[in-house]
Amino acid sequence: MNQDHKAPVHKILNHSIVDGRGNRTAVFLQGCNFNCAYCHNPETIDWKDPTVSLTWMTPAEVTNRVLANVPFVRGVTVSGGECTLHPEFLRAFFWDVKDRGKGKAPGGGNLTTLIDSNGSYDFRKDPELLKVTDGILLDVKEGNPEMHRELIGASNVQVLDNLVYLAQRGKLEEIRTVVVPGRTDPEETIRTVARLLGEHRKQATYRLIKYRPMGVRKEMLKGLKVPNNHTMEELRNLAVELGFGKVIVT
Amino acid sequence: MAEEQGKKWTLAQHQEKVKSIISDETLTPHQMTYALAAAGRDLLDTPGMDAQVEADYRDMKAKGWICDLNEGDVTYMPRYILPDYAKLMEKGSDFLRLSPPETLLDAIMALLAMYSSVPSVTHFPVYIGRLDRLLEPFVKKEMEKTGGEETSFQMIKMFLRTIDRTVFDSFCHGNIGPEDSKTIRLILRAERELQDSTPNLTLLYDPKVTPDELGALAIETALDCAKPSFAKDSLFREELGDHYGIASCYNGLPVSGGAYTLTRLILARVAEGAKDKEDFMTRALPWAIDTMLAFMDAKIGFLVKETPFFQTNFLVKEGFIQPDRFNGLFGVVGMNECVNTLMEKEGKDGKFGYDVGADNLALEIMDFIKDRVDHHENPHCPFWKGRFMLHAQVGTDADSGISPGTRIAIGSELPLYDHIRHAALFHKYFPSGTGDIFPFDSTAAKNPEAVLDIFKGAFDSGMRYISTYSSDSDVIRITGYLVKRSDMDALEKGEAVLNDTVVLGLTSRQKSKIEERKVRKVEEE
Repeated sequence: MNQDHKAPVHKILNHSIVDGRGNRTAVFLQGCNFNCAYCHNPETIDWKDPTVSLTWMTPAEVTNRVLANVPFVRGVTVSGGECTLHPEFLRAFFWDVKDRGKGKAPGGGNLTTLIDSNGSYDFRKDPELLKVTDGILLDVKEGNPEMHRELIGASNVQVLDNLVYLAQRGKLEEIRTVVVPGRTDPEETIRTVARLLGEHRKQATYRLIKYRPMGVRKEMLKGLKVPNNHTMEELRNLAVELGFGKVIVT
Repeated sequence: MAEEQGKKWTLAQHQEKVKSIISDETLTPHQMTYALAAAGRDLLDTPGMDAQVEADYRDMKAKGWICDLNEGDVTYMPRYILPDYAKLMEKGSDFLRLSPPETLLDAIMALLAMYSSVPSVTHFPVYIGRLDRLLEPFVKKEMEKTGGEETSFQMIKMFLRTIDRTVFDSFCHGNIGPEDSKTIRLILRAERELQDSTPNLTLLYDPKVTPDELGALAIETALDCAKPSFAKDSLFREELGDHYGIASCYNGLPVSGGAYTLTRLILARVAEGAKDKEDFMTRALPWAIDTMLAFMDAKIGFLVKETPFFQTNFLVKEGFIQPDRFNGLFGVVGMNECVNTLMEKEGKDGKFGYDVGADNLALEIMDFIKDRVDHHENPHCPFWKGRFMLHAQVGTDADSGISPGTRIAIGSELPLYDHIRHAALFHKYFPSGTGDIFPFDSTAAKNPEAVLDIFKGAFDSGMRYISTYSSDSDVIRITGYLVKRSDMDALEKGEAVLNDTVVLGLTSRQKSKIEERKVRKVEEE
């Protein structure tokens, strides 16, 4: 694999228990093609901004960072920004992790690779990447196309296509929806996801995330409300009723 | 023998002590009785010590180099006893007039009855058995009878609650695992509902035997009520054999046996009393070790030969314990401060945990202690081939500026993985117990598998025992034992509380900054 594809690394967390199954190293790449109003790490959106602190690293360099955390991590999750903006890096990095991470997970398993994505990347066209990726944590920010465009500034057609395709391929690690009262229609989103997934929803994990203002750009805060626990519980109940395998509210 | 600054008490001083105990308004009748027993015991001298060695011992005790952990000079009962409760299930007990239990209720009754007849240094049982294995056959029968688990659950909950309300101290320890069972799940469920500090609980964990889902459930439980802790089952079995248990704080000991005594060497104070590293390694440390060994020999000799326990107690007579499975525990404490003091005396900057030189010095000290203790023979310790077992003593409420065993001081914690790797350097020295505590942010409970990964990694790195609790749980681990924060708050306000250990917890909270222990976040750079 070509080790020349450097990626702009925003930061690396040696220990994260909120980025997929088990304890993982989380790598945050700089740059995003979405511009979500409620983004809680907006400093990762622009990767051409010269004031942003980032480190260009080769796949092997990042793998070394992951291996330094053996035997405490089950694998790595690459997040962003939007990490699929750097597919060449991802392919080489995951290939390297799988190659050098054999038998290195706690208890002796192989290190696993996850992608945290906004779903804008066409995974159908990159079988090589899917081959070395164990799963994708897929954001489905909004099921309604108009609301999606308004909230994100981009279409959700590709996101919903990925949802179905990844589920069919057994690569849908988790679906994630942030609940922002008034700005999203989480009920419709959950129903849309359930309908599109069909039988696959029984194996799917759905994470419903409460919007929180921490980190959000000041100019965006207006009109963003934190949902109450009651709303979150109602949504949980809906997702459970619709037959998702596992529903998590955070 | 009671003493002050190395001088024996006069009769008048003893009388004064007794008077002060019986007029102390803060003591419950039980506590008064135990204090009087200790006062009586303290009238006796340690027999069989060479005069010079005894003088050295008195001097070292006065300087705080050696501590008898309130056992006094003479011991008339073993400090830790781990009866084979499986025998009670099989055969009942003549002395307790109990026939072998047939139902879950019988079994619970029999265990509770026996617990009250198992002595220890605290007068309460420090080991209450492998609860899931003991009760599983009866739970299965009960479930068949009642067609569900609810009755069994209620009985197990009552059982655990009764232990908490009748054993007034948290050094009482139950074991579970490594295998899955109905009972282990009922116990975990009950503990979460009860939120009690007693009994302490350890999961004997083996990733090859314990299903991951059960391991994660145990973590979730620990993040809710500070128990169970995890012991590396394969390592303890390798060292102590299959028939072992975890008692008191985290003490690995043979079942059907236990420990005669635990005496501790306060390395922090020995280092203060040495000129420099060389003086420490060549004079102070070997002298203190030899003195402590002589004291332990004398004490164990007296217990075995001069007291009737091992001849007459029903636990021995009915085969619940075997005298040849008892051992002396050689405790060490305050390595963190010892190393920092010696580094300072050498004019070096490095601190324990932060500097390879400091850590290597700690390892050199441990190798030295192990070697010297291993070369000392005691005829009453056949189980460990005539040697004393090393123990990382966890501290007492009297300690100030002395970190438990070989732990890094609270306030000086390293990043998570580095801290675990550092702790693991020392766990191999302590077959009879050591352990470290990693509290997590309460949100970690949403991903218990992740904490399980970290525990597995800790065991793979060489740790033998690890505990967690959550930033907002009421029950928390002080050093090795558990105390409810709400009980400490009540005591601080001057309200009476049932459990003795709350006093120790509160003093430690005030002196040793227990609540400032680094809480591990859900993510760390």
